[in-house]
Amino acid sequence: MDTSLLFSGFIFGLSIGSIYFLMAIGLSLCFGLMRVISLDQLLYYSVGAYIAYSVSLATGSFGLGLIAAVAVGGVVSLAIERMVFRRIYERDLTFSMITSFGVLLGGVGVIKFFWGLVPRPVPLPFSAQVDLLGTDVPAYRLLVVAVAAAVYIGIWLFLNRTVTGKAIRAGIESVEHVEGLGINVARLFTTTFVIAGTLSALAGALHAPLIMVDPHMGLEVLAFVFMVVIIGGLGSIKGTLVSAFIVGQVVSIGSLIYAPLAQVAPFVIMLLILLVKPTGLYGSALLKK
Amino acid sequence: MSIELLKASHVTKRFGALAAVNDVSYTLREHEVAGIIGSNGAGKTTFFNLLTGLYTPDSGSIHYRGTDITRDTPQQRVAHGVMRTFQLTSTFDNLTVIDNLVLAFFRAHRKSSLLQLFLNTCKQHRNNDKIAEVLETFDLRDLRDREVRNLSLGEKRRLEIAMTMLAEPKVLLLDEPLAGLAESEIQAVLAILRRQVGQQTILIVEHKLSHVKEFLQRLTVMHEGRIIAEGGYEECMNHPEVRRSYWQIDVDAEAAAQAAP
Repeated sequence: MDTSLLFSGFIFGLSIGSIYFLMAIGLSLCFGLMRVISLDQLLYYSVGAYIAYSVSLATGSFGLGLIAAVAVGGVVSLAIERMVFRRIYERDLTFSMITSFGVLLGGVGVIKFFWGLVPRPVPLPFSAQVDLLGTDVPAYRLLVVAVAAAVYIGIWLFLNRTVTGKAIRAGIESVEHVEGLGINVARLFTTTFVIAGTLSALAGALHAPLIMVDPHMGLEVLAFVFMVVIIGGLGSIKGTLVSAFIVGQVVSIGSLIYAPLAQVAPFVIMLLILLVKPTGLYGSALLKK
Repeated sequence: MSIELLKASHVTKRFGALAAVNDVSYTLREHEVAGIIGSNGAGKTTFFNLLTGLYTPDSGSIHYRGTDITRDTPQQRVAHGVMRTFQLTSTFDNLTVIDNLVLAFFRAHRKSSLLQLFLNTCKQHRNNDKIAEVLETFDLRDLRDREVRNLSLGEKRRLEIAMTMLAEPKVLLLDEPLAGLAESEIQAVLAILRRQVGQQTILIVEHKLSHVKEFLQRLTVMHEGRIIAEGGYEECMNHPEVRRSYWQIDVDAEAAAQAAP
């Protein structure tokens, strides 16, 4: 195969993996700390994409669209955490899964009401190509990768350097004991949830110019994001990064080899990894409980 | 008479048909060191959980210095100064010793804004005087940067008590602080407790009575969710109900044997 084609496939995979990473990290943190499966993260992803679409259409600035998407994603996730999740943290995992799926479906309905059923295109903010190792690579895809890398570093610093981050890590071990120290666990939950929602909205906004924005876009990536979380191990940030990279590459390189592989190969990889390590690549500590 | 610090009045907690704590009234006075004993399932830990807010009682009330805290969350009770340790240590394995202490210290001494949540780094607090003092007192200085998962149970227990002390609690509830420790580790924990007598209000649940009886000012015996005896150590140990249910001595047969010519 042509190496230049392979290289652009690699970059394509990196950008897809970056989007998956931004979405999966929120799901993973929510499970790790609050023990909820927050399927509504996929709603914030769609909301992010639509806000980016509308604001960039109205103002002509994709940058403004991106900022608005992140802000709206944060506000919507805060509202849903307060109205819905506060009441169900104590319930079973399956309960949160069903409720959040309900929120997702309801949210899709709201999106349809405001924006209709027709898929909308979001123009690329810049169509420049960068020459990388002799291959022309779309600069926007590199931007997506750079944002994901910056988010990873930011989240890492937050969890490893700040008191709140350490409290979240401590809470992943035992919420009861963190509460015993007098730390406001409800606030810790809200902070984590809003971080998750904001990152999902950021993922949606960044993804928008690469796809058509449509009401079911969240449901379309659902399987892939779940795969990333499962392969990486629930609650592990590093695992999420590694597995997002793997899934992104498998989708991208797989489609170069044989198009239908893009859909099948990630599932095969997930099954293989689960056979060898049922807790995912980095998830062992959490599943002991 | 010293002040009534923590007071439970007719507290009941049921799990299904089982009344784990059944109509218990209990008062802890300032600077008192009191103990609760009872066989497994007597309701001691449930009672602790009611005092610290992990459970809410089905009936009855809990007051701290006369303020009703029955419906307060654990976090609100810690803000009042009611803190506890757990039967299984409540330290955080994935963090270092110093970061465990920073977490405990931070909550007790700061009211943070949302922005500070993201700006307060652990590094800023690591060299705090108070934390340095606790590291010294609890003989944890050499373990400062170790991950807690690599500590022995005795070291973890010392760290756990150090964490609660950092928060300067008004009432300290210790749930089996000596459980699972080797003799040398027991002595280390006892030395720490001995220093607190007279300065700190402590309620302690412990099976190893021989170790703690020297500084217990009052003992309470629980059985099947109720208090069956209360008073000095000897008084409780000789109480017929305690001999029957805790030591499982057949008191009636004993009395009959004594009465026999």
